[in-house]
Amino acid sequence: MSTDERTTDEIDPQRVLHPLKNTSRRYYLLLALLTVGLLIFLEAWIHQLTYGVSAVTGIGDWGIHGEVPWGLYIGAFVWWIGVAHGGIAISAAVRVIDLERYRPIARIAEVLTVLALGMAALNIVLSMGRPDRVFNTITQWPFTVHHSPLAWDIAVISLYLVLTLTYMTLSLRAEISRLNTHLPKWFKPLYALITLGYRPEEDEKVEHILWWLAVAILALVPLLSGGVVPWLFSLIAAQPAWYGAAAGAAMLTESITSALALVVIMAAVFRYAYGWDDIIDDGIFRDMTIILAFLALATIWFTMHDVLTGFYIAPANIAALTEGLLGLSYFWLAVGGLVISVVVLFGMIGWPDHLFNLPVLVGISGLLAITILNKKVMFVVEGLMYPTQPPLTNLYPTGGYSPSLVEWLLFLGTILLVALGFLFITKIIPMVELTEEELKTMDTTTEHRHPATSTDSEPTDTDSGQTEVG
Amino acid sequence: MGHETIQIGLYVIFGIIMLPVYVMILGWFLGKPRDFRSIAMTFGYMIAFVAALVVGLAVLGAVISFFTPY
Repeated sequence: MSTDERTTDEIDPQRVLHPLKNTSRRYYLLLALLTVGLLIFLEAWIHQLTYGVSAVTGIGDWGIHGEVPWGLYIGAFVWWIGVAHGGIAISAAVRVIDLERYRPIARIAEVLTVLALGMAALNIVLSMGRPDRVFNTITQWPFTVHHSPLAWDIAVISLYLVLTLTYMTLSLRAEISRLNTHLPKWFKPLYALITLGYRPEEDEKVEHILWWLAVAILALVPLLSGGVVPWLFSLIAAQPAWYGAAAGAAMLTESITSALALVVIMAAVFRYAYGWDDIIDDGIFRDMTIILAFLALATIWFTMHDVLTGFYIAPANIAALTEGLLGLSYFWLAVGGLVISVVVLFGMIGWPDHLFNLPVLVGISGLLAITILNKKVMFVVEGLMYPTQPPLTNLYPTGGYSPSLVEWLLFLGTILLVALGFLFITKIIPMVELTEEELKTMDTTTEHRHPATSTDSEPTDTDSGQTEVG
Repeated sequence: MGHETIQIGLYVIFGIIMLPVYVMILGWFLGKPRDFRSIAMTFGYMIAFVAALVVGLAVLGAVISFFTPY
């Protein structure tokens, strides 16, 4: 079958359930590798907890002693938040605008959102001088919310996570209930929680509730990734380069760029791993190429605005910061990454027959994701190195920053945790949302093949015509 | 140089950020089909997730304190 577009809207549910019923050697190998990585992450974290963030990373402390107080962790926090927003935005758009064509990637995007939000929160904990007091952020919230953009962030990220988890749970109720006998029995208690009090009569109303949830989630994206997160910087008056009315729009664009890039990567991984070439077809990737190309172009556009306005006749401290930025090799790496991405992506759009290639698209998506991370870290750190106004000028004259090995290990650990999360969730829920019609076809097939209700039916060769690695 | 503290947090959170949530809840109640049981169930899940977040954070802080010498 051509992988350019699905010939029918219906997806074979047996193919979608294959990962839940089969586990290959390659899966276990990947699990073992990631577990080793997890142990290294835990060792690095315990090391940091034992000796303290400042001693291990060189990161300073706001208000106590002088050094650059935010680094890779806070840059990674902003990056993960951006990834989270784009992920669920794709899924919500599928429901609100009825983009049936993109249904095969919607749940992958939802799972990415939940995991990315967790990693964003974890990066904040990693950056805290006293992470054992993390619960104080909740107990002190009624007092800090009045004046602290950090407290707003905690509130809105929690709100976003709750809405996303509720959205995922509701969208799974009917599906899990119908598929119950085909799902792994080890997770029965979890399935029982998801389907608590389920009645088929609720389906229509739940779909209505989900639609409104999707609307709220979509509306919250610009208020969070283009709102409280940029306000976290622009309202705390720490450095001039964080100001500017366009900061929110620029950050939102970068966020959605990195999110879509990671959705492309994860969708390609699932397609490769389970032979879903006809489910997540080339048409979906071609469309994502177009959106990604324009988003990368918009990111260049915002960067150009930043540089030109800061370089021409800007106020002295902004001009100095812009000059400092232009002197950073990381900045030119980011520009290079963006330009290469834009050229290749528009090449794929202009000459799809010759230039469109999924592995290259995945490579460019990886390059874009890393480039956006680089930009986020520079955005956070650069001005902090050259303080121009209080409170930073009261703390240190000029600072330096370079991520330590522990910081790299812990940041890479958060990527690894997301990979582990995907590995586990793939074994718990179907990674492609199935419609009522598709579930019905499965009932028919199951009755035909297995008259008895078997929980662990062995798949037959007809389950998939593709090479699958489980 | 000091900074003036501006107390606008409650307006930002409950006046701006929460607007989509208010609209969503109105949509649930006013839209058809009318099924308050499903709406109550949705609120139940949301409250459970909030509780899980709060408890999870308390547990995380407690676990971390085992590893910190300070």
